[in-house]
Amino acid sequence: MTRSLPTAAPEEVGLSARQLERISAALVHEVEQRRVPGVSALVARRGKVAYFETFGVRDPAVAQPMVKDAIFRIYSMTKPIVSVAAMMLFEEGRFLLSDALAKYIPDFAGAKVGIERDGRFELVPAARDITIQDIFCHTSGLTYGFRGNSAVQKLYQQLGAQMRGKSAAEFVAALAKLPLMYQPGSRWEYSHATDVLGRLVEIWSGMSLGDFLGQRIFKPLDMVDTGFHVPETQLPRIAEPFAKDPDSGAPIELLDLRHKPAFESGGGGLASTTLDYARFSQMLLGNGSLDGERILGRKTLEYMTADHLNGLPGTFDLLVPGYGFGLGFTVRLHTGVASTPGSIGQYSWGGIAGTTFWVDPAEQFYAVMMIQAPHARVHMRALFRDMVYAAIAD
Amino acid sequence: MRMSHRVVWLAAALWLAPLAIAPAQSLPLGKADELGFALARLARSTETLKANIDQHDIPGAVLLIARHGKIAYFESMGALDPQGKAPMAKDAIFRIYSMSKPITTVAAMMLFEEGRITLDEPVGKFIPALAKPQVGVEKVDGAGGAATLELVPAKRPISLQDLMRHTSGITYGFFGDTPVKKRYAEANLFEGDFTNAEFVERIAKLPLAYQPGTTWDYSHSTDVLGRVIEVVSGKSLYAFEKERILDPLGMTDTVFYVTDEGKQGRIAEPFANDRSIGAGATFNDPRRAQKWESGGGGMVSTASDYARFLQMLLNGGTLDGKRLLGPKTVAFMTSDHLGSAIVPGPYYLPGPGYGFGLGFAVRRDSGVGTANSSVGEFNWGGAGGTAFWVDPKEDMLVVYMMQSPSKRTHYRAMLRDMIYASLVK
Repeated sequence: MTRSLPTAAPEEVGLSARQLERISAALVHEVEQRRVPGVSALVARRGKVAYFETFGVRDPAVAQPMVKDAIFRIYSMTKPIVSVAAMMLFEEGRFLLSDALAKYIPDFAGAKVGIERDGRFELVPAARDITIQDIFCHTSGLTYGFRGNSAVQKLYQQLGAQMRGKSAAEFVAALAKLPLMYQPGSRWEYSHATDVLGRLVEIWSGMSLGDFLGQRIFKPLDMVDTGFHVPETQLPRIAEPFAKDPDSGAPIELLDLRHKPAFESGGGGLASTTLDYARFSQMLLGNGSLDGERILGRKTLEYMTADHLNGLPGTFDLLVPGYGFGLGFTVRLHTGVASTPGSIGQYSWGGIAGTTFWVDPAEQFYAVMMIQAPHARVHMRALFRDMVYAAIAD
Repeated sequence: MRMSHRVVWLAAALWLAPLAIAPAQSLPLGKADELGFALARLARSTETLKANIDQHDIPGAVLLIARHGKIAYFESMGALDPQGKAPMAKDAIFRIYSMSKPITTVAAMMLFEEGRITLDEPVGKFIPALAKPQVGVEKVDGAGGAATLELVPAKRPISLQDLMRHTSGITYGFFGDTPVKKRYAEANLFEGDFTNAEFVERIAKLPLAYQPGTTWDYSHSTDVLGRVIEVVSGKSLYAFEKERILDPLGMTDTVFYVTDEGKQGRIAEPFANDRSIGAGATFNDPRRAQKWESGGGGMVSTASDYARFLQMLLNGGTLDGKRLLGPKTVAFMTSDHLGSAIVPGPYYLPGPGYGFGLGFAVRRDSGVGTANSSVGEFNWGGAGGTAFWVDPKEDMLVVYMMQSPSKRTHYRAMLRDMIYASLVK
């Protein structure tokens, strides 16, 4: 069992118990409406957990209740963890953000950009090298196959189908052969870049990504249930989705966590628990350290959670209005503009199965919500965030 | 008896050691952990530098970090001169090249505070040869012929502010090969034994690379500024700087030429195969005195001397009771002066995330930059490999000295990343 975090009554940390009860009621309502099978939600402020509740079922197939130590596929919430891992190596001087990606993965030298012009597909040389900073910020020109159906994205979709059972090194080498979707540094585009970053962590450290994360982050932070697969004895703790998407009726297929994967995906491969991710979030809020274990220096964390885009455009559904992007997190730039509340400097990310978290340094505040319901993710994240911010009472 | 003698001798040596090693005018020594640094993390910088020196990546280095007015870290590593046996020393003398520019700019701003110059004044008021500059505009023949240079009059005069923030249109021959830059490179600007006045006459014969006030382009502007200081003060640049900056701050090893033979053995040297500082220019020999006192790049200094200069700036213009500038003047100098109207030239050395003030690059954003820093941090470096930055938000300054031009960019960024990583309070 993960070492827990200190707890407090809501009022002790400036949160409204009444509003937290309303959050519970709203989450119960979502379960009752069969929008999500189950929810686990945690809110902490000033270093203390003031709210940690579960609702609904852990696995709709067997109708067992959701539990606090349920294990969730966190998908893209893997990215902040891998970005922190890479920045630990940055602190050791192993690389510079201005370094060309090709310095470490030569397959990326001479990258080409795929352009569709008058119905024809052309390859043009990249105007500049992809840098390591581009890899952290999703400005490399790489994309994801599931993000659209451009000619380049169709090539990505084919690659995805071919890469089952391949290692991160093999995947990244194959990725480097595909054209870029955009010129490096010209645009924010959500992408496999963090898979590339995971591979870079392996190259820089000489360890597998899983071993590096285990030794340098999970062990010191006591995130005992976070990893690229779930040990056999813990399989009954895995939270599962509905069999079918309630909106489309299509079957929902999520990552199989039962076996050690050949490809430890830095962009989306981790499983974790609410409390493990809360400990990671508390380390972030604690300026890089938790319980005396220093993961990063505070200036490194400030640098990671500052905007690095400087107004560069991006796809608005993920780089939402009011936000920029730092080194592994989206970062709030304005108090207004965005469609959910948050302080300037708040940083966050989510996973495609619906998990979400944010850290708000100005309010000394973070929250984690876990669900396995891809269809409900956009609504649930906004609902949870709106209601949790309303609980701040001082 | 022998033993006890030895113990006494050792105790005396240890007691005397700091006095013997520390240069006469340094900053007070502090304890790194009490100044907010994690010692184990700070040690990683030392380990990395030492490992790189062992692998002959750089010959040697001196690193000084001060916070809250006290030295948190001051180490010398490797060789003073890779051709000799002497180890690098804390009081080693380095060619600081462009780190001369902040000193020249501070000198000019002392005249500014006295009302003897204003920033909007045209440089032609002091140097008539620069009163009506021409801008070189590249004309490309439609038939694919060679580019020719057409000269057009500058739309406005070059101001003193332009000189201080590199927006004069004056350029350097080192970066790029546009027709104007080629003219600079081919002008034999550095030939013979010439004075600052003569050097500025040579510059004035060349076309500007840009219209004044439109583009940041690294340049001989600070050499011209040095000459303005001479015209206004009636003194040579060095005489003015010695009287007003170097002597008051106790920067006894900061000079244009090391004519004192007793100090010549302290000059740090690069690897024999790493002496180029840009197109055609190689490491100078500061032992050989010349007339030229280059405000843009002619000085040598030590880590301690330069740290005192920076601590003066970090203190808002004063050190040990000697006031050189007012705090509002320092704040003005270390504010961005480019705004959004002035475009970065193709060799924008401040880098992403930075603007430029009067003599310094100034950090605009916490992010965006490719190395770690705080908003408001200001910095510059020298072509020989030296670098510094001052972080008012963290009340911290760093001086890094080495003579390794080819490695300068990498070490500047790496040390920033590693030193900020060790700041935990």
